[in-house]
Amino acid sequence: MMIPAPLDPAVTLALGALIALMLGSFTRKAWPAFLFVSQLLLAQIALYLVLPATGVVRFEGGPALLAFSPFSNTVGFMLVGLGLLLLPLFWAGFAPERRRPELPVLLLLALTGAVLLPAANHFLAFYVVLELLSFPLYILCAWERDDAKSSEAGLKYFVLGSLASGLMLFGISLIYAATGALDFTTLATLAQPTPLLLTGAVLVLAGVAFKLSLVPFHFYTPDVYEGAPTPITAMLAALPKLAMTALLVRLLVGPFHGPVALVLGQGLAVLAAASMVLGAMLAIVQGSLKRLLAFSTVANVGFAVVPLVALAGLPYDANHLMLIANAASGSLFYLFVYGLTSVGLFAACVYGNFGHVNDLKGLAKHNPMLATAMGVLLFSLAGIPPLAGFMGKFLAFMPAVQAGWGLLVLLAVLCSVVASAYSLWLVKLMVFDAPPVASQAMPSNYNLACLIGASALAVLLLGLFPAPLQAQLFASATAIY
Amino acid sequence: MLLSALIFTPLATAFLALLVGQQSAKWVALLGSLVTLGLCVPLYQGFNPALSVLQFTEHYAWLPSMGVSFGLGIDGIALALLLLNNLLTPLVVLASWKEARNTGAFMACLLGLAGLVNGVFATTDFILFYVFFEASLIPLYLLIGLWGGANRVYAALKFFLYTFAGSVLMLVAGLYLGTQAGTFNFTQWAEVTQAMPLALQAVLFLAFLAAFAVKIPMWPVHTWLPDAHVQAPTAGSVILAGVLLKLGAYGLLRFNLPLFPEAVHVFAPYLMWAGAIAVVYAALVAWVQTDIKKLIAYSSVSHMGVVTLGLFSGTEMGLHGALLIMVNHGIVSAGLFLIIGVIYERLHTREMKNLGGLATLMPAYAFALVVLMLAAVALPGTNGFVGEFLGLAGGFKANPWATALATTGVVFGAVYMLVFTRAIVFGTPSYFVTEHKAALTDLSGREWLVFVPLLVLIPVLGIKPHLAMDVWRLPVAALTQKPVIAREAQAPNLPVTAPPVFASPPVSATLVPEAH
Repeated sequence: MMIPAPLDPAVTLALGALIALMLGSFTRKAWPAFLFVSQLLLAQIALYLVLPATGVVRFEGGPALLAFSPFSNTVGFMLVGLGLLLLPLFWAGFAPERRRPELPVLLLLALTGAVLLPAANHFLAFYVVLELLSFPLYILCAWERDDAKSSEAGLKYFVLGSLASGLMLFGISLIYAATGALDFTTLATLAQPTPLLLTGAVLVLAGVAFKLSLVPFHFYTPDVYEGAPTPITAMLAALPKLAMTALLVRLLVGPFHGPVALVLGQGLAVLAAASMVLGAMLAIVQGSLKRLLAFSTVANVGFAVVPLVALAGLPYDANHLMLIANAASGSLFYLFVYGLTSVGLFAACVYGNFGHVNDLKGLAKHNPMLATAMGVLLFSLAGIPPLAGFMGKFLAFMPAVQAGWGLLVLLAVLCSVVASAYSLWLVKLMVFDAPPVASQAMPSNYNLACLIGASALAVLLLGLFPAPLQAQLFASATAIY
Repeated sequence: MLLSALIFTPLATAFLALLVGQQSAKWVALLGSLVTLGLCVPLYQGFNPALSVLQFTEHYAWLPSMGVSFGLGIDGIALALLLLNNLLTPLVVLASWKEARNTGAFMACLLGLAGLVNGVFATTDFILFYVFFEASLIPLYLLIGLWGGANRVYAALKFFLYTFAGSVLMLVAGLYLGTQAGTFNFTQWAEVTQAMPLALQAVLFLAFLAAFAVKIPMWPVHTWLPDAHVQAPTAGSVILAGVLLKLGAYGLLRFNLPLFPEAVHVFAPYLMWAGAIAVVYAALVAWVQTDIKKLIAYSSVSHMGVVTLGLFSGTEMGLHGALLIMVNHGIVSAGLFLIIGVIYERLHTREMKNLGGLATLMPAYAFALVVLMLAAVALPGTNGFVGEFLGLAGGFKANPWATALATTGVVFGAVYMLVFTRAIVFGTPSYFVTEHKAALTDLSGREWLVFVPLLVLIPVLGIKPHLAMDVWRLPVAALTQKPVIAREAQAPNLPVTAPPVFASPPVSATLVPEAH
């Protein structure tokens, strides 16, 4: 088996995880932070080096299991970048006695899965890589094992996630029954959709929608978000969504292209519309900050799926390449910005130990810097220019308008007005309200402050100068396969 | 570079005001706003009103693959509004000199607002326009919410959500036009939109109208304005009435009128009626207010009704009138809100029954108030008169009945402004005023500085309105030409509604030879 260059980052991550696991079993107290940072940095550098490279992993001359392309490398680059942001949150977000070496090991393993997911080129590899991403998340959700809510979150996520995986496996088997092939390249050449293939595709889509927490597969989201330790919640909002969307792009232009994707596109439009409406409306009535952000995730994933609706059903050829690349890059840009925003916001929750939205009251009075950073992140979440949230919405909605989905975009922008209401409400609590009488000073935390500041700054800079990232994403999306 | 400097000088000053201490923040803000005003001098001198192209153009790549650029350029309409905005900014900085609560952030909001509004007037790119248009919501949201009155949170949220909801519809329409034209430079959109079928034009027209009607605000979507005005601090009210309301009318002039002439033709009668209703309705509501700030807020709605009437009249005279009212209302309503701010600073009340008889205690204050009042009721000789006269005269040609209705509103306007004046400066001093006599010092030197530019401009623009009108003569002429051209392009056989003077044969040809 040949190892192509783009596999190196994933190997780096996986090896790093294994080494850390070994070290951790000898020194229970130590947290080899240096090791993790260097692993992630190494992976980041490796990914940067292989950005334009392609490569294929085969098993004994069979069909390609993994096919790396500039697209998968770019998505991997963004994922590892988010992982680097998450690392200080993992360090600061847990009490010292719960801060075990296994924590970042699981982060590295999940990242390995996430980085490989956009490169999957075979339903078997897809399934295995997806589980590599999911299992660390199940474990991490239940990390606070003495806390009933955390255990519940882990169990709920695991049981429902297994159900989704089961559906997906069933769908995959139906696809195999219908076509006799499982690799994306072969499937992409089959143009005849049979009812069996369509059923299989819909079941796979259901599994994907579960991971993306699209309505009506979102029911686990608020409970898991609320119960899981906050750093894990941040990870849930950032990593799987981006990786899964990249995979969805590949599915829609590859094995499910043509008439199948047309049907899936209609379904996705319904899912996206329902997610935007329900997510935005239910977020407003939440009292718990993490539940609010959970419903916000539902709405935001709905926004990010809008361009994919436009992309579904288009033939992957030179005539439609511009539109496909615009749609794919718009969706991924949006989710990357969303990932940055939610990591920053969840880090702020850890920093100030905010549980209920009312905990934010008067934050601007006793911690103006934190309130400013959170304000930037929240305005970005609401899609107010000149922040990155607006640029994301612009880049995501523009291809959908181009493809003639203007009414869906109209619904999306109306939902974003509804969604801006809760962002504004949180800003109002922070800035306009008086602090409660008995408010104690929050302990300062250098790591987290840097992290929150970095994400706010990134959101501002990406809003002002979106061109470099957009150009890279666009160029990579012209080479999805 | 001049337009970029106009945008980024206030923004940089805003950032600086946040960093320096509370005391020096206002000096930084004053200096920054004066520098920006100073930049307007070469802008005004370098501007050539005889050119019908955009001037001071700048163009930088921003998102090249999407056709989005950082493109700037102004015509006479934008120039006038830029001058107005940058004149008002140092005045509001001076007027809020005594703001002691978090001065740095307050000044940052004012200067940030000024820079973003300059951006709205200066840009030629739709996405950039939207960015500035929406980003200007943030500083005003904070101004109202942080430094506002008792019900400030409700007012701030209502203001934000109303305007945001309106402008996202514009965003979708703009995205559509951008994909159709292949560029977001909206000066190139006209060729695309004028070839569109009427139904599509109408939908796009309404989407843009949604954003701008809320901003102007047109009746019946004006309800956010009185709330926002009453709760906003003086500086916020001044900028809101003086400049931000003009963003809506400016948007109509930039997008709705030139891009969708056919749709304008269809909707203009209804919109003129909406304008006329706004004039009368808001004037009547203003009449019964007891809160003087709310009274002036409703008077804004009333005046902007005449602007709507003039804009959609489709006549050159009406457009000139609408633009003049925009500039004059920017001067006069800003002055009136500053006048209210002066008295609120001393007495902390805005109730009519708590005021009265100030003419004897504060003669200079009464003088300034009366001059502003006369301009607001459009007394001939003041700037208010020329604008309202031209606006109504232009409207009369297009829609006599609506204009007749609007003209009655002018009478009501005189009524409520005289009620306002009597209640504050004339009559016997109320018990409240005699109680607080010690606090009622006349205008200070700083306050004189604030009022003098406005009081000078009132007669100057009243006697020589051409100073302003010459600047925007060409773009206005271009706007009134467009519908005819478009109708010809759409259906060449339709009769062109040219002025009768050209349509009728020369007099000599019709003369019947006299019998000898």
